[in-house]
Amino acid sequence: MKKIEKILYTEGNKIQNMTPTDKLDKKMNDILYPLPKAFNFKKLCITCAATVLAIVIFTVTAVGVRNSDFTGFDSVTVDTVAEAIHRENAFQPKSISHTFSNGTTVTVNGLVVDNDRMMIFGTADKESTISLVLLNSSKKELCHADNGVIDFDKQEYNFTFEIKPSKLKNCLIQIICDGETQIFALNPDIFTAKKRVYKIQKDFEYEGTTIDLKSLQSNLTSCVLDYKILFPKELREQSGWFENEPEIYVNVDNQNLGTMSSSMTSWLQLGKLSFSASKRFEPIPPQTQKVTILIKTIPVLKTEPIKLNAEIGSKGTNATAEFEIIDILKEYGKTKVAIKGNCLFFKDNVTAELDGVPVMGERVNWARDEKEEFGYTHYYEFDGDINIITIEKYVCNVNVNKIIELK
Amino acid sequence: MNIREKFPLLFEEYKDMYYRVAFSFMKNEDEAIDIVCGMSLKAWEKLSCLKNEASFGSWSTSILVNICKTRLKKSKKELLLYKNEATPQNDIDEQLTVREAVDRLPMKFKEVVILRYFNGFELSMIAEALKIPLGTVKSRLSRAISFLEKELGDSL
Repeated sequence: MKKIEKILYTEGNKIQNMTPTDKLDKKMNDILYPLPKAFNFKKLCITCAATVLAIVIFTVTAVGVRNSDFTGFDSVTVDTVAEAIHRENAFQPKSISHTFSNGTTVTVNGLVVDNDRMMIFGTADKESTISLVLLNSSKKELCHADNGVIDFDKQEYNFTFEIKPSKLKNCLIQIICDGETQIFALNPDIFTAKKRVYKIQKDFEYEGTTIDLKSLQSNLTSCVLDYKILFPKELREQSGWFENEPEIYVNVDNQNLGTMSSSMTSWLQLGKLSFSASKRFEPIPPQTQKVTILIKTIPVLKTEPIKLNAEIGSKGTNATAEFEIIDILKEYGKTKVAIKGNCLFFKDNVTAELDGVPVMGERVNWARDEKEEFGYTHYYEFDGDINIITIEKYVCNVNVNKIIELK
Repeated sequence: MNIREKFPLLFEEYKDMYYRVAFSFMKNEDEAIDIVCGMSLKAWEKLSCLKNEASFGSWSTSILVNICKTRLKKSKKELLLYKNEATPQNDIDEQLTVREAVDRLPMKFKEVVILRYFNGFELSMIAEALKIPLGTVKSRLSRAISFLEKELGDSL
């Protein structure tokens, strides 16, 4: 052996004889201790197996049965296993708790997973500032927290964190309570949680509009109804709106779930306009007995175009502002108004009255008509069945105050 | 018991070794601890990539070495020298020189020297941990020794 090698080995022996200080043990314990707790999921596995068995037994095939409980609506009844869905998607990682040095005990009570988000629920026995960090060895991400709801009955401080599943790369989270940190391990099974999809095969037809129900996806945080609409004719010629859009609800035990969001993708199919639509509702509550999908179309008010001129008084111009209400649509408790003008409006210069009470409208869109020199169409939406709208000003800074009564 | 369930136990088993390897690279206790903790999270995150449980040691060491190398590259700082107060003065001088010489080695030579001489790794384990052929480990060690001999010259 060369002398240099001997020296290197001697140096190495000194390092070999080193023992890590308590600091390493303490830090590693913070990381490793929660892991065995989280890994001991035998009970959970048994629960999951039982749940899967229950789901197999109750396999949902949408039952296309007309239901007469809901007057004025056509409906499809869907067998439900809401309770099983809840058991399947809710992970209870043994209520991992940690008491921080300020005396606050923080407990992670459970997780809820669906396609769009994972929610972590927990409690603290004292009001504290709690934040959550996703632990990723390369970077740390602070999660959005809906923090600080006090349950006065239980004297608990409830917190909820929401995480996008796409950001989840490991099962470790770090909870920070008043500046002190503790690492919690989550159940790795959350990453394989699957949505429960109920196939629904049912077509309805209303005044030439076909509604084709596809599926209802259920999970703990929401339920999503996918369907397809085939309109008998193309969009309304002037305003671009379409008529006879069906009103669709998911009804659980005779109560409609609130709508959270909806989206539509359109394409033309043999000259007809087809929409692939998706509507997200509030979650189906546990122990639901019956789920029904309700479909209804609302009569559409059609109004003849209203034409009016507004005098221009200031700024020394003789121009005339011209407004034309080219379309009015009343449906779903909303009034949609398309106003065509020869100049741009300000965003909020159209107001309305509903039974004498001012209602703020929202300009949802505007477009310039390339065929005309000064042609702009503005699309406003108002909540309620509006009968009077007021156009107050337009971009030329000219005072125009015109009240238009809708028929 | 699957690998995830075993992870804490395996980590406990190798923990001291991880610390020594990290310390050999960083020469700083706090940094070594930080690296071992960071490595544990990374190993946990990448655990699904571990094909063979038997190679957990070399697999995790490769993660550790990579973190150390990245950290060294990033910080580009002067490494602190490891001092042992019980060591006689003339030995310290000699060893400090050796450590300085090791630090001046290109990383690919330094890493094999640290694992082989400072941490007593078998050549095959070094090859596995660094994901290089066994022959390459031998040749790098040989070239590293030649380099050190040349660097240290008369002080040996």
